[in-house]
Amino acid sequence: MSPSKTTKKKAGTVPARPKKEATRKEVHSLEPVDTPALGQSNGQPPSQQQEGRYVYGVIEARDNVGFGKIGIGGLGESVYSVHHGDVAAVVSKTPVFIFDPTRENALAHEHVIETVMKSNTIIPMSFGTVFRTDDDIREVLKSIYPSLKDVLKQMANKLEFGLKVTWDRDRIVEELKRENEEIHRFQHELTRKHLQSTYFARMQLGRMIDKALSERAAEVVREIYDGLRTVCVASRDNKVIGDKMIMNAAFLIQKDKETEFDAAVNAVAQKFGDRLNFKYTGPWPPYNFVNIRLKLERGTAS
Amino acid sequence: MLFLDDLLALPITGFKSILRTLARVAEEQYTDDAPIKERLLHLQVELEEGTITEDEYIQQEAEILRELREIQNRKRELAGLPPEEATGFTGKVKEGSGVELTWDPNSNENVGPGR
Repeated sequence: MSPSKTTKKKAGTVPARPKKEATRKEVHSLEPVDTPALGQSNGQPPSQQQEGRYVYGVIEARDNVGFGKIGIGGLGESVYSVHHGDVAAVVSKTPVFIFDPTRENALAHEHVIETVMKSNTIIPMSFGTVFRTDDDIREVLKSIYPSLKDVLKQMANKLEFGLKVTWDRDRIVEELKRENEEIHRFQHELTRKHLQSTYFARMQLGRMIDKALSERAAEVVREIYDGLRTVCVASRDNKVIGDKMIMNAAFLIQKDKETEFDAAVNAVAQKFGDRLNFKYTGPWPPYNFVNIRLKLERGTAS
Repeated sequence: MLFLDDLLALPITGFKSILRTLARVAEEQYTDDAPIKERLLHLQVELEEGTITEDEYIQQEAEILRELREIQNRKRELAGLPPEEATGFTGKVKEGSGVELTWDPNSNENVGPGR
C-alpha cells in the first residue's frame, strides 16, 4: 500500500512530555517532575487568574516576529517573539493554568509550531510550559544561550518525520504456519496425534508463533531502515503501540532531501505491498532529536 | 493505605518489612500514571485508524485525563506537596539545564533499529 503522507498531522499526539511515556521517546523533560501538561485545567475561569506566557519553542531571530492570532487557549491571542540577542522564544499570552493535553490543546500547540516552521527552525518546548512574564523567559534564554545556539545550528534545515508501520497480525500468523518449517511441522504433529486441544501443546505452539512473529518483525524493520538509511540524518526507535504495530520511528531529514526521503518511503512501502501498512507523518519539529532539559522553579501564588 | 500504615506502627519486625513492601507496591500502583498515558496513546491510534469516531475519542479522552489528574494529584499529596499550583515558571533555571541533541552529529551511525 502506498502511504500518503499526512502533512497536516491528524493525531492529537501530545508533542512532548516528561519521561516515561509510552510511545514517543521521552526527549523533553521538564523538571521538577510534575508534568506541566497535567493538572486541573478547568479549575477557575481565566479572568480570576494571573496572566502568564505560554512558550511553544525557541527560534533564531534578532528582530521581533509575529505569527498571527493563533495562540493556544481558544482566545485568539497573538503569537509573538521574546528575545535574548539573536535567539527568541515563541510565546502567547495565557491565563496561568495547567494545560491538559487534550486533542484541542495539542492541535493548537502544533498549529503554532507548524506556522513557525514555515519560516524558521524551531526547538519545540514541552507541551504546556507556562512562564510568568516575558522577563522570566528572557532570563531562561540567557541562562541556556550557548546550548540553544549550538542546537539551533545543528538543527537548521532539518525536519522530522514519523513512520508507524502496522501489519495484519492474523495474516502473518497464517503465513508463519504455512512457511515456518518448525511451526508447520509442530502443528502437523499436533493434528496427527490429536493433541490440538491439550493445554500444554497449545501453549508451546503459541510461544513458537510469538517468537517467530517477533523475529519476522525485526527482519522487516531492519529492511525498512536499510531502505531509508541513505536519505536521513538520524532515526529514533520508539515503543510500538498495540499488537499490530511493528515499528514506531522518527527520522531526521535534511530539508533538501525531503523529496528523496518521500520517494524512499514509498519505495519501501511498495516493496511490501499490502502486507504492511505505513503511516507516514510530518514534517514535525525535531521532537525526537532534541532534548530540552529545564529545571525550573514555579513562582509563588499571588 | 491507612490500614497498612496503622499496621506498620505495630512492633512486629518480621511482618513489618513485608507489609512495608506491600504498602510500597500499593502506593506505586496508586500513583503510576504510565498505564493511563498508554491508554491515551492507544486511543489516538484508534482514532487514526478510524475504529472510533471523533466524538467517542473526545469523550474517552476526557475520562482518561480526569484519571490522570487524579493520579498526579495523589502523587503530589504523597510527596507532601500541595495540589498542582498554577503559578507559572519563573526565569530561574537550576544547574544542569540546557538543550542537547539526542544523536551524535559526528557519527555515521545514527540510523537503525534500537536507537
